[in-house]
Amino acid sequence: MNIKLTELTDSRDSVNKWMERYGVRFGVYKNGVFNEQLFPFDPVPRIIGKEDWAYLEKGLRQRVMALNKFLWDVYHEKKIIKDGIVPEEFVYSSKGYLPECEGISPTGGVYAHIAGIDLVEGKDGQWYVLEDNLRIPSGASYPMIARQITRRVSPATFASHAIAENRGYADLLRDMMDDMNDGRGISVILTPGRYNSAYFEHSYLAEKTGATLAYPGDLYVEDNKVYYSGIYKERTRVGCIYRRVSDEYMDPLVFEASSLLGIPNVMQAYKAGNVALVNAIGNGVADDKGIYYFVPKMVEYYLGEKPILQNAPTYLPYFKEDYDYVLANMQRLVIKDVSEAGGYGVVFGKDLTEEQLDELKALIIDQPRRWIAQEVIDFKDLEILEDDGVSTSPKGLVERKADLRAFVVSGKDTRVWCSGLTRFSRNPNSFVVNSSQGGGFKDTWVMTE
Amino acid sequence: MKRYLYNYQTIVTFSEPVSAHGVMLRCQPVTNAFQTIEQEHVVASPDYWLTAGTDAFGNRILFGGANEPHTVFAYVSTGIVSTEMYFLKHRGENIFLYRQPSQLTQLNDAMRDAAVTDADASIAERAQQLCHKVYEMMKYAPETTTVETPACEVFSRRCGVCQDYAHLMIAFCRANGLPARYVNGFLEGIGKTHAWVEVFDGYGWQGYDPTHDRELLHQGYVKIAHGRDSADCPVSRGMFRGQAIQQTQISVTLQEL
Repeated sequence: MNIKLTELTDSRDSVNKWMERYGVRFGVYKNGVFNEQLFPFDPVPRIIGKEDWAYLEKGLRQRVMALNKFLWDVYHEKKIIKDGIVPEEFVYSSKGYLPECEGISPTGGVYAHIAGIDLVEGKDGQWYVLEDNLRIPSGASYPMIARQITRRVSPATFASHAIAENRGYADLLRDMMDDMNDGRGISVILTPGRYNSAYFEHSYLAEKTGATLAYPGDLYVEDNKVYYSGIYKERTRVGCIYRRVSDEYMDPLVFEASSLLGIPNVMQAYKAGNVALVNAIGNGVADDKGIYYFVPKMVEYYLGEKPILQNAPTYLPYFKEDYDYVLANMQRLVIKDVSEAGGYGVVFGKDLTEEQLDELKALIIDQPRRWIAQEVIDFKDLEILEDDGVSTSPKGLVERKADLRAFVVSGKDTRVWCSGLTRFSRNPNSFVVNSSQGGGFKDTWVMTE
Repeated sequence: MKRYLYNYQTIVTFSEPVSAHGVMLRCQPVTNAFQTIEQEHVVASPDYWLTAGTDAFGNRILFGGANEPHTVFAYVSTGIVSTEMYFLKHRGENIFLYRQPSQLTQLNDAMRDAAVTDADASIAERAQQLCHKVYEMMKYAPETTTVETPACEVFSRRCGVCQDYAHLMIAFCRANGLPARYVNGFLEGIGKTHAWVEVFDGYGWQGYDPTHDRELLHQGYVKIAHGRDSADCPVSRGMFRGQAIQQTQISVTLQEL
C-alpha cells in the first residue's frame, strides 16, 4: 500500500483546529476544578489489514457473545459457578456484582450492548486482550469525527485507498437501540450533563443516531413505565435508554440515595420489561480484573469453541500452581490489585526494590484472592508525528506505545465496528495511553482489500 | 398458633410542596413458613400510583410516586397475621451473599478477636453465644447512632439501638463463617419497627434478637424483610424534587388477638 503520508501530516493542524471548533473535548476534574481539554489527534493512521481484521472481528464477536452469556448466567442459573469453572468468591465479592439484578431478564437477554475491548499488538504480531469494558465504554465519537474532518481536508486519501467506512457506527447503535426498544417508545441517550467528561460524545452520538438527548430530570417513571418530558413538558413514552450514567446513580430508590442523575423507580420498570437499559445494570461483575482471567474459559464453556483471542498471560495466586509461579517470578511480572477500594493499583515487579518485593509478597501470601499477575507484553510501537511545541514544522515521526479499543455492538446479533479508537502515549517511556494522562488518538483504518 | 393485628403508619410532612416524589416501601409482612397473612390493606395519600413487586432479596415492596405538588405523604399498612414457631427452611437462596462482610458490617481485627466462639460447639450454640455477647457488650441508647452507623463504630462505642445490635451480631457471625442476615419487622406491643438477625445453621434460618438476648422460638415477632444489612431493606425510601425539610412520624402496633 502506498499512502501519501505527507498529505495527512500536513493536514494535522487543520484537523485539530476543526475539532476544536466542533467542541471535540473531554472534561477533567483536577483538585475540584473542571477543565476541558482537547484530545490531540495524530494524523498517521493505524492500519489493520483485511486478514488481520477478519481474525479480530471473529475473535471479538466470540468473546462478547461469551461475556453476554456469562452475565445472563450469573444473574440467573449460575451454572458456571455450580460447575466449578469460576469460583463463587470471584463473582460475589466483586464490587460489580449487584444482587439487585438477580432474576432480571433484560430485553433479548443482552447485557453488554456496547462492549469496548482493549487490545494491544505484540511485537510478534499477536494481538492480546488487555481489558473488557462492559459498563459504559466511551471513545467511539473521536475517530468518527476525526475521519469526518480528515475526509474533508484530504479527500483524495480516501478516494484512492480501500478503507472501510466508519460512519456505520451510528447505524450499529441505531439498529441495536431499535432492537432493544421493540416499539415501546422513543430511544434516548441519558447524559449526566454538560460537565461530564464525555459530554461531547453523548451529544454527538445523539445527533448521529437520531436519539433524543435526555438530561437528568427529563425522564420519570409513572405506572411503571418511563416517560420523557423535555422543554415543552410533553409526555412521551421511552422504550430504550442508552444511559451514560453509571449503575450506582441510575435509581436513587435502589442504589445511591443521593443521586440526582438517576430516575426514581427505573429499576422496577426495567425489571418489569417496560424499558431497555443500554448497557444493562450489573455488568461490572464481568469486566472485573479478577474475572478477566476466566473469559477464555467462558468461551469454551458457553460456546464450546476454542477462544480465538488471547488474554495477556495471566496468573491467579488463588490457584496453587499460579501462586508458586507468581512468588518465584515477581520481578518480571505486572502485579495488579483486584480490590477496588484504595488498592495498590498496578505495579511492575522490575521497578520494585528487594524490600518492596518482600512486602508485596507478604500481601499476596496473606490474601491471594486479591491479586492477579501478568507477563509484561512487548507492545509493537506505532509511529506518531512528534510535536515540537510550535506545531507548524513537524520534526518527523517517532515511535510510541499504543492500544486499540474495539467496539462491539450487540442487539439481535453481535457486530463489530470496522474501526476503533487507537490511543497512544506521548511519553516515550510510558505504557499509559489514558486520555486524561495527556495521550492522543489516531484514526484506525481497516482495509477492505 | 397466635394471631396478631398489626397497624403500621407513617406520616411524612414537608415544609413546602414537593413534586416528582418517588417512593419504595417495605411495609407489608411476608408470607412464609412461620407467618401467614389473613388480611391486609394498604392506603396511601396523596393518590399515588403504587405497584407491588419484589426486591433483590425476595422481599415484598410497594413502589410508586406522585408528580403533582403535595406537602404530606401518609400511608397505613394494616392487617391480621398468624404465626407459628420461628424457623425458615433453606429454599435455595444465595447463602454466599450473607457470609461476605457488607457495607455496614465490615470487620476489623479487634472485632474478630471479640467474636471468637467455641469452635467445637454447634452452629446454634455459637449463634446463641454471639447473641448473648452482643447483648452483654452493648448499652441500649437511642439517638447515639444513625441509620448509617457501621458495625465497627458500634463496636467501639458499645451503644445504640436494635439496628446497631443486629449489625454487630451479623458482623460477629460472619467473622465465624456463619451466614447471617438482617431482618426488620414488628415486635409485639406499641412502638416503632424492630430489627433482629437470622443465622443459617445448614438447614435453615433461625432468628435471634440480640437487643433482648433471645432466640426466637416463640412468637411475637412479625417479619417484613431481610437483607445483608439494614441498607438493603429500609422500610421506606423516598426521593423528591424541592427544597423541603421533611419530618417523619412512624407508629407501629402489634396486638395479639
